Amino acid sequence: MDAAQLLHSLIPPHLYLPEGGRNCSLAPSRGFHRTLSLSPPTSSASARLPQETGRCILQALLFLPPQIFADPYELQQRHTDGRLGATRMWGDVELEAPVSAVDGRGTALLLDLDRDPDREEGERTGAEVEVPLHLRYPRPVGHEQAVESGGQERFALPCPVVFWACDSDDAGRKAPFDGLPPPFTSPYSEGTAFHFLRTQASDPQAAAGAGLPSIEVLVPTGDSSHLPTVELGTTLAVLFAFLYIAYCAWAVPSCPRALRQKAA
Amino acid sequence: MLDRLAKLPFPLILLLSASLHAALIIYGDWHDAHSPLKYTDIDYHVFTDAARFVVRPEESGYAGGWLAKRLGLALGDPYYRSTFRYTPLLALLLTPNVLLHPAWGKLLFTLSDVLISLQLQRLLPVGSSVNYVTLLWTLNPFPLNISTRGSSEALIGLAVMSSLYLLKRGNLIGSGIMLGLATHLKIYPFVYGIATLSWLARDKGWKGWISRQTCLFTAASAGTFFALGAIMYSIWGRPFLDHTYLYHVTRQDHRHNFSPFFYLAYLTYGSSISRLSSIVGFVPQLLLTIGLGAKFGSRDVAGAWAAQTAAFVLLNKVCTSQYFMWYLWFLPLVIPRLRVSRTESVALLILWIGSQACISSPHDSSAAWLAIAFQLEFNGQAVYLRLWVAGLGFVVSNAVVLGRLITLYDWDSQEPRTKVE
Repeated sequence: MDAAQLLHSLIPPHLYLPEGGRNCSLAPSRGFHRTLSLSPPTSSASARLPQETGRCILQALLFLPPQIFADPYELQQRHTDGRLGATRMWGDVELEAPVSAVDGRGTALLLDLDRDPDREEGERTGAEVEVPLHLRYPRPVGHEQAVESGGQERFALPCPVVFWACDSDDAGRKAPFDGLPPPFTSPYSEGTAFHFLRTQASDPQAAAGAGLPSIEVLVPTGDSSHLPTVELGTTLAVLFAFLYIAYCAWAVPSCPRALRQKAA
Repeated sequence: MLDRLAKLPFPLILLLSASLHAALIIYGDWHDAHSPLKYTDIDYHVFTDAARFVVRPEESGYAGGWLAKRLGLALGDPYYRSTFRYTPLLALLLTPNVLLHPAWGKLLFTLSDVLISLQLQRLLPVGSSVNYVTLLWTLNPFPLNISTRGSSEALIGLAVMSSLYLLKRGNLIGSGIMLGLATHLKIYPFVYGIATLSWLARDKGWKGWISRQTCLFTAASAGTFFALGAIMYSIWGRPFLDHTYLYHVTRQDHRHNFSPFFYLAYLTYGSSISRLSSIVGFVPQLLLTIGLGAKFGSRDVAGAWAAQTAAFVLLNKVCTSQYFMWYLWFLPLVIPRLRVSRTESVALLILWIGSQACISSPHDSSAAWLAIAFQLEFNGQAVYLRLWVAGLGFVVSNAVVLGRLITLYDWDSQEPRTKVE
């Protein structure tokens, strides 16, 4: 069971707030550069935190499979620009490698969505939040699989888990984040209280059959049956370029003796 | 309008170029603040982050070289910034980005562009018009865009052109130092050494290759390269070698770029490729660039350096449009010596441009590289094979262009005599 599924299974139902959930969507639907959007449902009323809650932060925890990643420098730039809350990441954030070269556990991203400075108000709807994500080149597949899948690899991107993390005096409270597998390690102190908001994937993007809200993502994949052709073709092109240029250089007449003597 | 521009006094052209650079830097700043699609190149942020880590080290990000430890230098590790694959010298040069203003680096690159213009103008033969410099470099939108977006290529260009300029002035030590610096910044300029030695050894037989002049130049260039390397290694240790040099030797660029090697790298990532592919990826490029330098360096250094650069870029295992800058700064020197008809020059230009971009239907299998790359990167279509074929077209067409230009170039045009030490 991966971290997202485990967390989903560990959240007690009574910790979910009745209202104020979030929609998650990924746009555009194709390409290597996407934006994950978290937005409040249009018809929902604001979520009210219980009166006894202390100082709270609205956050989202996103588990990214190895096929997709966030650039921490890009997130930091957006935070500096005031377009995104503070972020924290776990796992090996490799910005250049394909899927085959990175940790199969993926990464985790914690994002501040909003803060509630006024405890008595106790509610915050939160504006839409956009997180830029990028896809890695997936492992090439065999020809039959490439044809069958239309040259696309599918994977499920779990929707973020959205929650209020609140100061609490209850030191014995156990958090659902404790005990999640690496690379994630809970950043919360003992006794932090959590109130979760339900998230759902936008209908056309929802991954079918998934036990938790997630988005189906397609990424183009290479065909390993191309390898012999690619090796041969690349070799021939390079050899042609080398031989043609070398021939042209060889065919240039030598410097006339008169000119050489004049230059000397 | 081009005619009028070409006739303006050169200092005015330089002022116009500097003003355009400044305007674009200011615009870029405004654009970045108001648009999610940034004007500034992502590499500029990489450089700035690296500079920040040098002057404001992270807890576990201090320079790890023996000299830094011995002297207790409070210098940070620029390689704390992932994807920074350059010499720490670049990070040091850009520390004012952090200490003064973020636009410092862009101003430095702008100054490099302007100084290249000055050197080009002085390198043109006496009596030659400065039209070519004006139109092909000083007011060329490509370097204007590249430098004001924060790409550091102009720094290498300045070092390379300085080396050529000093060589033509007879200053072998200065020329060697600048070539050593250029090679420290980016490995590829080392190939110019062969052309330079060929130039210095011309008409002297084999003894010319071990003359006082060639030894002086070799000592200056190699000495500078190794001295800079030693200093960087002593302060930053093994990460300097790994990221500045070894990474570029062993890198596998699996993501799409103009070079057809990308698809081979993607399909074989993490596994060993055939011996033939290993050889093909390295030997033709090295033989050709060195061979062109040895053959033509004795006749025209600028032309030889330009031909070597074009061959190197064409056969490199990774090729992006930034690499075109590496031979762009030679164009004002070589174009006046091309004996090519207008028809053929237009045809070659169309061939060069067409190998990269063409306007066509996305369903047209003959669409060139940029169009297909867009389908892959932004439309998510599995067009790897088509993109690879377009890469083959890029290699073949660029080879044809380069071959023809080598044939049509006047390698023996007479220039005013230059003083040699």
